[in-house]
Amino acid sequence: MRNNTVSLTGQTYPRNKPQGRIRGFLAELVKNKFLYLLALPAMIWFFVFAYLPMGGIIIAFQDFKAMKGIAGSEFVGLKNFQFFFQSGDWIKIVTNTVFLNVLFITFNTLAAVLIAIMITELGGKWFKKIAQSVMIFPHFLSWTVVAMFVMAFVATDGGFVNQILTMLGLPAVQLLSSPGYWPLILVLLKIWHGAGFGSIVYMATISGINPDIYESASIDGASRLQKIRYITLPLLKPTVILLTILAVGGIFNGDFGMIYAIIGRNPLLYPTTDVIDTYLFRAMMDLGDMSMSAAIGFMQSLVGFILVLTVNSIAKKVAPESAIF
Amino acid sequence: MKTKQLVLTALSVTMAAALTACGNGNETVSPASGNNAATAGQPPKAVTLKGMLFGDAPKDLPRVLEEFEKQTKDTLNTKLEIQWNPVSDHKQKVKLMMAAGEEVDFVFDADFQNLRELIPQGAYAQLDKYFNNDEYPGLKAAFSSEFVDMNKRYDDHLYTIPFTQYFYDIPVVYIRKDLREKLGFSEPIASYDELQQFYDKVLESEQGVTPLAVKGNGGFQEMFAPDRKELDHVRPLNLGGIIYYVHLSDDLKQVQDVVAFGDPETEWAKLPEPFSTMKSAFTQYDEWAEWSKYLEKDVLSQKDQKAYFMSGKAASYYGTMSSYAADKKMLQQTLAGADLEFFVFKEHIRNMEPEAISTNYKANNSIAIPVSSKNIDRTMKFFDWMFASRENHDLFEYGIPGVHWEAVGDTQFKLLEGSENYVFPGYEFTWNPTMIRTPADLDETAKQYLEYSAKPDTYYAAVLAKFSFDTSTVKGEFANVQSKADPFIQTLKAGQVKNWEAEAAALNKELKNLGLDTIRGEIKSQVQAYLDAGGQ
Repeated sequence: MRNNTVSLTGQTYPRNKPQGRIRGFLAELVKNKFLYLLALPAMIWFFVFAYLPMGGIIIAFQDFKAMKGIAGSEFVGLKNFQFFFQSGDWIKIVTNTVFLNVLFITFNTLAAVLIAIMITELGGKWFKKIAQSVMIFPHFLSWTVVAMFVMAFVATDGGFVNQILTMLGLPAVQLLSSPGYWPLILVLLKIWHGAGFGSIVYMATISGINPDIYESASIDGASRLQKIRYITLPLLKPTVILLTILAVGGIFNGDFGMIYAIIGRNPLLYPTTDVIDTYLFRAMMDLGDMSMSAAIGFMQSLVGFILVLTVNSIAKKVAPESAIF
Repeated sequence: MKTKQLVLTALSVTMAAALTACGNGNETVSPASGNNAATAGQPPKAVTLKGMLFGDAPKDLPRVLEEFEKQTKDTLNTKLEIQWNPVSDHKQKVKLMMAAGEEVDFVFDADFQNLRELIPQGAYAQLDKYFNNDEYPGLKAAFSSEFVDMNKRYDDHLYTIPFTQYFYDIPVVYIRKDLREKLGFSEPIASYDELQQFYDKVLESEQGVTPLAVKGNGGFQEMFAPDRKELDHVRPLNLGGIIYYVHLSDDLKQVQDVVAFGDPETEWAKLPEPFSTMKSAFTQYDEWAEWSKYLEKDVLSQKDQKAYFMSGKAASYYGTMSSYAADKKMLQQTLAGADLEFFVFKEHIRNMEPEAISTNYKANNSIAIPVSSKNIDRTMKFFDWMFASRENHDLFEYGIPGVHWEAVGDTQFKLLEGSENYVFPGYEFTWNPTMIRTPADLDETAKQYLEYSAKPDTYYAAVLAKFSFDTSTVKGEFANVQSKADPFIQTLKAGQVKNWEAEAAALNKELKNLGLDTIRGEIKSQVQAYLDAGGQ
C-alpha cells in the first residue's frame, strides 16, 4: 500500500515543486481518508508511547534527582557517559555485544529461512502442523526456565553433555568455567528459542508467492532444489533484508534477559559473555543511578539508529526494492 | 496548635475505646478541621491509607483487613489499601511514583532500595517526633530510644519506621543430620576440625554428594572470618565490593590512613597488628582456597544453594539461623528420613558470649512516609496501634487466631491449617525485636540461639557503625571500581583464587586507574567530617 501511494503522488504531481507537494499531500489525505483513519490509532499510539517519552532522554545529560524532577535536576552535559569509557573494559564489552548479536542475527535468520522452506516443502498436513508447533513452542519459554535446562546440560558433574562424553570415553569438559564454548552455546540456544518463531514471517512470504511461477518452472523441468534456489530464495530476499535492517537496530543492546538468566554472575564466563547490559547492571548494583543508565541506553539506541541508516543505505544500493526508506 | 491536636486525638482515641464497650452507635460525622481532627467521644474521620509493599499479597489479607477494620472502627476508623509490586519493580516504581508526585501514605524502602537517594532529596517525612512520645505509647514501647537513634540517618533525623527482629541473623552451616550419623559421627559437629573430618568422609564414601553447597556470588562469606577482638581505631568499610580499613588516631578523632584491599605492603605496615599485613588481616582467604575442594565444581554458577541441598546433592549448605524451622520442614518433606541440624561456626556466638556481635542497630528493612502524604499522623497512629499490643501486631504478622495460627504462651506460636493462605512478609511491615514469636515445635538449641540473638546485650556498636558513605560525588569511579572488582571478589569468596595476595595487588593497580584513590580520598574526608560532627 505504501509503495502504491508513493508512486501515485510521483506520477500525478512533480516532486520538485514544494507547493505542489503540499497540495499533493492534502489530496492524498482526502483521497485515502479511510485508510488513514484506519492507521490513526496506531499513529497516535506511537506518538504517545514512542515519541513523547523521548523527551526523557534529557535525563542522560542531567544529574537526575527524582524529587527535583526533570525540570529541576542539574544539567551535567556528557558527564554520565564518561564513566563507561573510562573503564578499561569497554572495548571488550562492546566487542562481545556486537559479536554475539551478529552471530545471533546471522544464524537465526539462516535457521528461520531454512525452517520456513522445509516446512512449506513438507507434504503431510498433520506432520507439518505438529512440526511447526513444536518449533515455535520454545519461543514462549522464559529464559529463566531455559536457564534451568541449560544447567542440566552443561553441569560438570552429571550434566547431560558430560555424561555423553564419559560414555564415549572422552574426558569431561568444565563448560561452566570455559568461556570459549559460550558463544557457540548461546547461538545454539538462540536458534532453538527463536528460529521457529522467526520462520513464521518467511512462511507467510513464501505462501504469498504466486503458485503459477512454480507451476511453469515444473513444466520447464525444474527440480525441487532448483525451484528453491531460483524462485523461493530470490523472492525471500526483500523480507530477509528488511528484517535484518530492523534487527541491526538492536545490535548494541545485549540480550540481558537471556544472558543474565543463563550466565548469571559467573565471572569465569565474563570474557566472552559480558555485554553492555550485564556490565551496566553490575556497575549500577549499588548506585542505581538513573542518569548513568539512561546515558548508556541512549548511546545504545543512537548507535543502533546510525547502523539502521547505514545498512538501509547499503540495501538501497544493492537491492533498492528491499530498503525500508 | 499541633500538640493540642495530638492531645485531642489521643484523648478521643481513649474515649472512643471506652465507648465501644457500651456499644454506643455514633452516627454523626465529626467536623473536619484538619486532617486528623476528631472530637472527643467520636471516631476520627474515616481515612484510607494507601501503601506500597512488594511481593505477593497474602491470599487472606482481605479477611485480616476486615477483622482489623471491625476491631478499630471506633478508634482508628482507618482502611488500608496496599499495592503489592513485583519484587523486581518495586525500586523503580517507588522512584517514579515520587517523581510523579503520586499520593501514597507509606512505602517500603530500605538502603538496598531508594532510601539513600530519596532521603537527601527530601522525599520522606521526618518521623522523630512520633517516637518516644507519650501520644504514641505503642511506638514508644516497641522502639527503644537507642533503636530509634541508631536508625537516624542523613542529617541525624529518623526517616523510617525500622523493622527487624534480630540485629544479626546468625550465619550457620546447615548439616544433614542423618548423613552425619550414617557416616559414623555420633555427636553434632562442634568445630571446624570436626566439620572438615565430616567433609573428608563425605568425599570418600558418598559419591556424587557435594560436602558444602554455597551460593555462587556469596561463596564462603563469613566462614573462617577471624574471631578476634575488634580494634576501635581500625575499622573496616565495605564499599562497592572492596574492603577499606580506616585507621583512626588513638583518641578516635582523626583519620590517619585509609588502606584498601590490595594496597602494597608498605601501606598495610602503617596499621597495627594484626592488620599490618594482608595475610594476617584476611586469614580466611587461605582457608577458603584450601576448602574449595569441598564445593561443587561449578560453584560460581550456583544460584540457589538451598535448592541444591534440598535435592539431596549436598551434605551441608551455608545459611542463616532465621530460616531453620522452615528449612527443616522442607527437607523432611522432600527427602524421606532426612533431618536438619546446624553448626554455628563463629566461636563467640556458638558459646553465646555477651557482646559478641558488632552491629550498627540499623534495620535492613523499613517503611518510609512520603512528605506528600496528607495522612502522616493517621499513618503513624495506625503503626502505633499495631505496636500497642501483641494482639494487634500478631493479627497482621500471623493472621486471625484460630484460623491461621494459634498462640502458645506469650512468645511462641503454632501454625494452623489455614496458615498457607496467610504468609505475610513481616519484615516489610510488622517486625519488631519486642514482639518475636518462635515456632513452638522448634528444638531447644535453636530456641536458645534465637533467644540469644534477641537479647540486647548480645550486641555492641562498633566505632563508625553509624557512618554511611555518600557516593554522589564519586559515582563514575564507584561504578567502575565495583564492576571491575566484583568478578575477582566473587571468585575469591568461592575459594577459587590460590595466590590471592599477588592477584589482589594486580587488581589494586587496575582499580587505581579507575579512581580507587579518588574514592579513598572521599572516604577520608567523609569519615573526618563525620568525626568532626561528633560522630562515633
